[in-house]
Amino acid sequence: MSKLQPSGIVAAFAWLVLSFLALPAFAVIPVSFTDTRYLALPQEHWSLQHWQAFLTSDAWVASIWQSLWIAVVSTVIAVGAGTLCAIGCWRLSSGLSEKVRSLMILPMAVPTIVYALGIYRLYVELDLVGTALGVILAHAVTGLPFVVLTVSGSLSNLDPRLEQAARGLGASVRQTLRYVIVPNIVPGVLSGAIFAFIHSWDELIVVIFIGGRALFTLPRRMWDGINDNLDPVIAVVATAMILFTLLVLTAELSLRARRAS
Amino acid sequence: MLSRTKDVNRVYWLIVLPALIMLVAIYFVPLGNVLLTSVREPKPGFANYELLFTSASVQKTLMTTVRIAAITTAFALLLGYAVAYAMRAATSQRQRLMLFCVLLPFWISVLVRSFAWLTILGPQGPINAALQGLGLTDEPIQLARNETGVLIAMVHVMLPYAILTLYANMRGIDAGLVAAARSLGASRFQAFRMVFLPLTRPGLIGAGTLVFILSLGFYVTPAILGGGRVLMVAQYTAIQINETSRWGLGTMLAASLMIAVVGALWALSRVIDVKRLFGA
Amino acid sequence: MSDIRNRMDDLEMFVERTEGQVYRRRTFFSMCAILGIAPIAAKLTPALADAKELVVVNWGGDAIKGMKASWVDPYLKKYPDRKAVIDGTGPATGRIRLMVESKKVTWDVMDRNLHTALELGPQGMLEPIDYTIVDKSKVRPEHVVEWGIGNYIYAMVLTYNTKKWGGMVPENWKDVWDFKKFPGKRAFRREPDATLEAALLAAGVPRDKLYPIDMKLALDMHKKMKEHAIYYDVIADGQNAYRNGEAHLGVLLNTRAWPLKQDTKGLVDWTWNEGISWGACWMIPKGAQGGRAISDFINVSLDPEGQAQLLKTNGYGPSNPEAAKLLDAEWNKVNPGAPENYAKMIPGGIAWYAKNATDARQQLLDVLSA
Repeated sequence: MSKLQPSGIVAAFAWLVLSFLALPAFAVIPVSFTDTRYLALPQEHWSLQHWQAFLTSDAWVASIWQSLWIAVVSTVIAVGAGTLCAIGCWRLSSGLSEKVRSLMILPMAVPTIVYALGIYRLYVELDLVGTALGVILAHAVTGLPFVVLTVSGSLSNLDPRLEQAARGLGASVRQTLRYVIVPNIVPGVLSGAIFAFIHSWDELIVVIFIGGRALFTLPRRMWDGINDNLDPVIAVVATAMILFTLLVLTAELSLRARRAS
Repeated sequence: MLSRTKDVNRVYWLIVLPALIMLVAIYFVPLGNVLLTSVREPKPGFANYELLFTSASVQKTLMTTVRIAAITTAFALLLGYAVAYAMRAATSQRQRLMLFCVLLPFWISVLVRSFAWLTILGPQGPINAALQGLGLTDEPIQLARNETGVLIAMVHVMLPYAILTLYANMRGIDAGLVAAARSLGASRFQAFRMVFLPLTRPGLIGAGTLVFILSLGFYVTPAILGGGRVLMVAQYTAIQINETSRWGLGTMLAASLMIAVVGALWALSRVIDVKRLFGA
Repeated sequence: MSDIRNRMDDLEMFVERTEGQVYRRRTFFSMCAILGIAPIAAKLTPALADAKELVVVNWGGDAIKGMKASWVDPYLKKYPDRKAVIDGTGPATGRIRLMVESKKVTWDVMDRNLHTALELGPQGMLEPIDYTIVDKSKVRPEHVVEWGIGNYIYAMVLTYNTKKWGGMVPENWKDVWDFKKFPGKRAFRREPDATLEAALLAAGVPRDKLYPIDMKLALDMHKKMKEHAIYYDVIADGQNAYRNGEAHLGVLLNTRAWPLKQDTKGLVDWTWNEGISWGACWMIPKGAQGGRAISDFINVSLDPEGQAQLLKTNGYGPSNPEAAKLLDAEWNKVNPGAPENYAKMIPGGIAWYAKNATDARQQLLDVLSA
């Protein structure tokens, strides 16, 4: 499939950058086996104590589930609304739709804490403080920009005449979307989904303000008591997530390999 | 025909609507409410905005923020482009492995990563140990708790965003075009520069916009890796809001940042075709 | 049962507010319906907080366990028919203001400090402490103000590495600014309290003349200090810096210096000498619903037994001096509230900080980031 041949230097440089990306992971994994009660490399021997603490603690596991489902639902909303919006703006391509699209990016530029003040005030009136729905909506709306931006990027490679041609052949808007546009922008939608998911997964400030007592997402659990100690369990969580992604990707790889053979 | 186009447009406006409603109802309305504070406190008027022109510390914070965001963007684009390009060219198995490396840092919370960097870059960390071991330096060099540390960690956080955005764009480019250029006698570099690079411009602009805007709002990384020396707008604002009840200044900075981004996008759209910016 | 009552309350409130706020709520839910999420919206509406439950707000982490065992449990034992819960989400000023302005105050009593009480009280964000019920004679007079009463004492203390200078250790802030006698990296908090006082004491200002703080002098001292020091934001980070040898001397919170000494087996130690002591305090947000229960809880929290216990679990210094009598000599060594330790330190200037903290912080940040 590949007709591009980057020179050896470029490829080597790319791998160098990739190892830079992986570097903190290599620091985090041994830290998760530390024998100390603070965040540090193992001092005398490797220990599973924090893995045990993590796996037997209801609080951490509950936080992971809570973060996970909040992130999944808010990502679905953000991806759905954001993708449609990006497609609409791309197709309309009028002055107004361009303005709408610029508007969509703004939430990324505003310091989150200022938004947190506003959303708290709104949620007090709506009785949404301390609800999962409240957090999901806030995360979905702040995740929108990622999706709009990446999907728009993908659409930039798509010839608008394709859409016109499909319509000219009598396809309905729904059919055009389904068979012509969406299949062509999958990479953009996927990266948008990843960004939106991570945005929710790692979001702290909004949750602090509107999470009330009930919602303890993962980032919030990590910050809890940050002035006392850095609990090595946070390194365990990171390591567990790394292993999980590795597992998913390997499973997918071997599945592909089997299908290919 | 005309009415049909109108109908179709209506449908497309309809699909824009859910996102727009969400954005206005649960983003701009509550946000606007808070930003009004900037003209109400401590007393009604634009006194807070005058600080943009009179207060050295406000100006310095803004300058630091823009400078760090710009440098981060430049590095993220340069490094990210190489990776995305190599990924685009790699076999699908290798692509997976690369993708794994790109996604890896996402799973480590920014908080954990910041502390990991403090260890890695610290005076007793592996980097300094390696530098001294190789005889390049005698004393540990200060890599963290200053702007260098903030930049390293921020580029690290932003790289996956740049790579994935660029990669999504490159996936859509027909590699046959480059091959055709090569077969017509272009050197590898020429084919890249004349054919491939121009086609990735939307991706570069998109990734640059994303990274730059996101970098403006960084909070955790500069707070931990800056050693108290690097003050960016988000942290400045958070201090105003968390520690004091004087919100006028913090909300003014947020409003200014927002206006500046709108202005920048607008200016960008004058310089380059706005459709290029988002595609279409 | 309580669930049903909550529903009824909900319904009542809904009816009451039909003219006003509810309109927004309704528009909101119709919007949700458009987006197809109405069913979730209905399911996820919150239960109203139980009106009888006392909500104690602190900063989370180990403080939840500690305060529960030393204060909340004894309170519940004394008043078995009441309920109380700890909310560890942190009473930051911004959140207090938001809650008070929203007129829907769910917190009852907050763990903060005296200078914040003096700052926010006059702004109408706090209820005064009801001293007809709360017994202020249990604490030192400097830990009693109109809107707050000291619940424990913490201190910013001179912390140092014991092995760095061949048995010699710094004894006061002058030593910390003596880069020849004590070479090495310094660590301070990126906050004005104690950071400024340390600078003034190093410059030779007498301890009873620290306030009002001479900002110019303090900042000049930090201009000299800057290149030799790190200024940490998160306290755990400062603690880490001493532990891994990145910092050798400077300021640290006493509650973190103590475990640090244990973790490092004495490599890092601290002195009470010229430490700056602060009164953490209870404050009550304006419009709190707890009523009498708040004052009862505060009274229980000032009993010497619980106070002594909290020192053992969390390192919080008892604000009630009587507690020192319940502690043996070993425990009193780590107790900032023990008379001999307290006397070595300087009580932080709460009145000055109530007025000047914001400006002082700004000026310090300007100097550090210049």
